[in-house]
Amino acid sequence: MSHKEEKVLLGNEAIARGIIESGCHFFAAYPGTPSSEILPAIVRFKKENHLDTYVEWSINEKVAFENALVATYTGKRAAVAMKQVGLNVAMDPLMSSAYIGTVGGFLIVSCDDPGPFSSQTEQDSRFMAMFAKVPVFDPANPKEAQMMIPLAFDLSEKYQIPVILRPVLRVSHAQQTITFNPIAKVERKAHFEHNPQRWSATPRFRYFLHKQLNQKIKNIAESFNSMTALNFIENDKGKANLGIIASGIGYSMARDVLLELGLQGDIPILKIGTPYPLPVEIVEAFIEKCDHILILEETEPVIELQIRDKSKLIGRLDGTLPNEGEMLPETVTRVISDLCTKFSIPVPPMISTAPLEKMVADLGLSVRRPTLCSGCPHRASFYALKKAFPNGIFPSDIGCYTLGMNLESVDTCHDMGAAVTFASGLYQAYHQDGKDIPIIATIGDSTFYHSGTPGLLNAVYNGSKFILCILDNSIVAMTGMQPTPETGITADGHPGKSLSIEELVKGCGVKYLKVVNPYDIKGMIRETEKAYQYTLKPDGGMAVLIARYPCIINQKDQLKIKPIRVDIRHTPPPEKGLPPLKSKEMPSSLLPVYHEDTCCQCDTCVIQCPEEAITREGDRYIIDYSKCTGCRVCAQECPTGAIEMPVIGACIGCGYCLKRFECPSLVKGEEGRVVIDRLTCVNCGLCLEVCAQEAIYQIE
Amino acid sequence: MNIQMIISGVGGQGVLLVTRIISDYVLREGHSLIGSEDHGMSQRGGSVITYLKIGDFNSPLVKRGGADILLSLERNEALKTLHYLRPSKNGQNGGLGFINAPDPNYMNEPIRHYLRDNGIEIHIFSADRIAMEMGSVQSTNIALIGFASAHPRFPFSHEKLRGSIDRVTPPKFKELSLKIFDRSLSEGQKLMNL
Repeated sequence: MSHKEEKVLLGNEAIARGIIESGCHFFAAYPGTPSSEILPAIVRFKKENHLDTYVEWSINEKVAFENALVATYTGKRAAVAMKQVGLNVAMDPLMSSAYIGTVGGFLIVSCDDPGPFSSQTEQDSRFMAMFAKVPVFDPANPKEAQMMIPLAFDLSEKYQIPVILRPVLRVSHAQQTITFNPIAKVERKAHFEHNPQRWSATPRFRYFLHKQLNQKIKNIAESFNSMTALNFIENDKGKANLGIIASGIGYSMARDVLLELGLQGDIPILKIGTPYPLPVEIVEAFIEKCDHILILEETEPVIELQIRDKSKLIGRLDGTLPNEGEMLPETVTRVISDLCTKFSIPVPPMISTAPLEKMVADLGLSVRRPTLCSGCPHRASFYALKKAFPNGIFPSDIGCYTLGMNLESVDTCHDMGAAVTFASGLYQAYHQDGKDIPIIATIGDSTFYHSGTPGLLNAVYNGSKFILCILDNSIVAMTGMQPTPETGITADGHPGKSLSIEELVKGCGVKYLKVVNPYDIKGMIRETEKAYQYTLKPDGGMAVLIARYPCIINQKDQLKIKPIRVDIRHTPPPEKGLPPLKSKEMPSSLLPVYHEDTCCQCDTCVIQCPEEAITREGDRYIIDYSKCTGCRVCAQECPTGAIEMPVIGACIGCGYCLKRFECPSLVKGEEGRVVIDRLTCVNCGLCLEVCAQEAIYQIE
Repeated sequence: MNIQMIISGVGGQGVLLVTRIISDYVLREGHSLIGSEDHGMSQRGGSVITYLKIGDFNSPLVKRGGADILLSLERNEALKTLHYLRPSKNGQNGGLGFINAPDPNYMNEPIRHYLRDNGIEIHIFSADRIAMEMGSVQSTNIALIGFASAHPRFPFSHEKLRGSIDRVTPPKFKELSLKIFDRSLSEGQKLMNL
């Protein structure tokens, strides 16, 4: 017997392995956590095994879906992968594909993110399957995901219907020992059979297709009853006081918890691998045998809702399990323990860890919030944009740059592409009232390709005027450095065609376009102000800035070209041991002083003050010294020098850089004074621009 | 072998390498493994926690109070993950934790008291210092495994761990990593009076 290769793989790699082992010919994906690792693993297995699988990173999920779907019309096997909210983008083709069906097998991998850890919603893709009326497989762990995929392809081909595989994050990102199976050779040459009645069915025929679909789903549900690899009973023992129906990660958790509690022989589990369509026969027969049924499924009560008689059910609908957040082993342990106690099943007592958790919580340890990396060009962009328009509205989008909210330069983050449409809608809402305010939308390059252009076309067409700043770091950084169309490299590393954002923007009808270097903060502030002036012109329109600088994590060499080492002065000669202004010990000679005679009443100081310490009263300004932190931004920004304040040339602990620049390498030291964390500092030198007290200086 | 484990630290400390070393070990020994990793959105400096379950397990998460072993590369992250260690009813042979921290007495008395009462054994060791002294600040992770492997209840033998480090560590760091491992092992034997 030959020894099979075994490896510890990530769930997503096991899924890729399953897809490759099924002889899949065509694979498309758009990156998104927790699905992004599937495609690179497909490419790896393809290369290792010299396969000719077609692989692409698509522009977005809808494009990926349609590309792969039509490949199945030619008889080939195709798969597409995305995160759960990506399936929202592909919902349109999904709905229709259920009616029209496929020829070759079609697998949709939609990775859910209960928690959520890095998504807008906790939505359950199994509901999407139910809504579209396509079967869904819910793997319990990476190993089962790998095993399910060939079955899913076979099912898809037998019934000519797309099949969804729904791993949750704890499957996609779990690591498990995986045995490699042989790769099936599925010979298929592309052959598209003309059949307009089916492929371009009119509404009248859609009715018949719907009827066919309903029949397919009914037949599939019946076939699931006997697919014991997917749906089976463990510890089957006739009558039981308590039984568990579990699907996906809920099953894995149930097994581990029962084992830990020593109940594995006492409580039967009906494991459901196919939550839709539900294999009703075995489910009802199981319920019949048990007095009470606990349902464990992630994230929504998909199985629970499909069971007609709910009288014995315990689960999410009755609130026993929380209806939001990730299912945790301690919750499942507590629920099973409580039920055992209630139904007189002996169970060992649990030792609570709550006292220890409370003791640790009382220590008030800081929680590290995510921040943009040291040297990230987005930080420079956000700093410049906020500096140019402190009172602007900043719609933004999905990506690393959502973290611009830490720098107060991101006001909204909704869904892919919404930066552009939100900005457009905001402009029109204000414009309707005759008011034009600075609106600066930020969107990443990949997100712009994904779904930014329709919003831009719409804005140009309908006469919206705002600044769109495309943060172009030439990579999909957030999800692990996937190439963008601009990179000119295809998913499997071959040279592709490199697209130009400039051409794309111009093609959308934009007349004002500037490419700026965000590392030149002053230049970027200037260009942003110029762009705003253009939007205000009667014959002006949309202004687009492309802030172009490579992702610093991806292109570390960029920083080796011209490292700028900086330091922060703490004791300015001659004043030693300067007290922080916040301590109220700052001598009044160092505070800002307002001179009415030279003031031009432009409101700059009011707008620029990060603490809202300056207010206008009639035609003069009042400085509230109880709010003033001494950052000196007002004096720096006043165009007429009407605010006088000496430059201290040392850190006074005002916190301006921490608030508006928020670099992980600038950290609070003694007495609130800022110090540089040398371990993380990448010598980008960007912070030199930030301190108006000129405490940050370059080391020669 | 049924072992549940937590490895915690912050981004950039090499939690992942520890996971890879243990995975290699377990695979070689022919045991099954399932695990998962939590890390926030941040690339650097954020909390990182790995759950590892070796043996007959199906789900990747370790429950609170379920871990046999805790390896923590950072003092605060150690505190935040202490509650994963398994308390024991009779106050003996509960979870076993190894923590990298400069001050062996940094935990307050009530916490130490709770751990003692519940049979949770904690060993604190400045893996940072050893790594730094030996000229590789990045090797705190290796130093901590070396230290832990001196304990008789640590479930992985130090000789076989050495083999896994040899296989998994990038060639550039291999020689130094092994030296750091050996040095920490003997420090561990000394400090834990073994």
